[in-house]
Amino acid sequence: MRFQPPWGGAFRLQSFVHRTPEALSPATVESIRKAILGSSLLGDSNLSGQFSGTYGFSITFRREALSEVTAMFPAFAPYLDTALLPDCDTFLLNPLLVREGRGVGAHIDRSLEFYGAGIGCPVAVSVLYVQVPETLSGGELRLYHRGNRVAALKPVPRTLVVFRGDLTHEVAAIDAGAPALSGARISLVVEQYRVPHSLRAGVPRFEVRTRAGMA
Amino acid sequence: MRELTMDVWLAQGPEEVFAAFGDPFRLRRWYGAPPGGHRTGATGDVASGEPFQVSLIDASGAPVMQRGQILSVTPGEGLELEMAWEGGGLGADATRAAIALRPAEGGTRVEVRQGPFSTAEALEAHRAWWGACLGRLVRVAAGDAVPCFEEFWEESRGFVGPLGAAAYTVLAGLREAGAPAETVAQVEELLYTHLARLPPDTAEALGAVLRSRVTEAG
Repeated sequence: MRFQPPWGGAFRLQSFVHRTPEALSPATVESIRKAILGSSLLGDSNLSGQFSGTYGFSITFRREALSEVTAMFPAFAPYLDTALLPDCDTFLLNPLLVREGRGVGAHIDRSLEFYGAGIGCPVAVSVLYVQVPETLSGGELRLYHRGNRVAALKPVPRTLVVFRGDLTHEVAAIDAGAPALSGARISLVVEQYRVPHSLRAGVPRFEVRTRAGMA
Repeated sequence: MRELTMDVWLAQGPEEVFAAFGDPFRLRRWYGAPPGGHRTGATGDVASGEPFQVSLIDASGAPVMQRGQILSVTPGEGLELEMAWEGGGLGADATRAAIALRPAEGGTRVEVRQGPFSTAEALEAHRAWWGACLGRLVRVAAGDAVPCFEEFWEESRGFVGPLGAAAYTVLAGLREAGAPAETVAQVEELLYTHLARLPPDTAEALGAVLRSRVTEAG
């Protein structure tokens, strides 16, 4: 086993976030947008209480099930091709729709703890901004490292943001510009994990979850 | 049935002390870890009054879990919660605790009342636990950077294998010792550049040495 640089080489101890403008083509992002808004899975968020009032669904999958994920959600394939880090083995993919008057409270992602205590936080989290209304006010992504704010990122369409999984983060409340679900701030988030070997058996190979349960 | 009472005085005013309860970054630096142990994580939205779980390890490294729920909060004045334990020698009692923040001598007296305890041993174990927590609270409220296993543990998740853990420990240690950011960055580049050149069998042997030394020390 060779020494591997941390975070798959994506970050250093004192660096926290990368932003790639125009990460995917307009046509690709538009097809992602249509796939999310047209999905029958879309509903109240099934994530933690900090996501109250937001919408989405979540897809847990191990790397070996990637082809099944892209078969079910072909529009997401180019995003996953771009975003997945090579040394992560398990992922939680989550379209996130936030409307006016809502935000996401400060939290560290630990979504896979649902499957077993001890899995902890992801190695990294990737966010693609799929739809950002032109008149949007608020909705910036704020990142904190050990209590200190290290970034405040205004959402920009087609931009890919990758941040370290140990960062606490929040989405500031949207003040205006996204009154309807079809005009919401839409991002496609993928939490990227390296699950300890002893806990892997508890994580499903591929599972879609909504507020109502497994889809 | 027995009840625990204890208190500690802090130089800061009640509002300032209360901020160490409401700010999750500060809260985890003082709340939870038993004497000689560490807090490893927590789940549940404490602020909303949902049930929460605090994951801990005791001084021997054995897992301990606190389950609880905030029952009431009066900002700047205190809160009430209930708690029960799995492991850790704190007994099986489900108890209620009231924490009151009272202005005193230019600062704040933090008073804890908790019970009922069915045994004196459980009460004394909680006294020791609160002693450890309140000792850290004094430091956190004063602005000290109280070391937090949970923070380091989360940050170290990006590092792979024993050599990655060793590199993290050196780098985080430099940072915590106050080394300038550029020095930390230089050491980091040096480590990654050279460690990546290690033949796999050498990396594996060194990793095994590290594991054995850590086991021996434990």
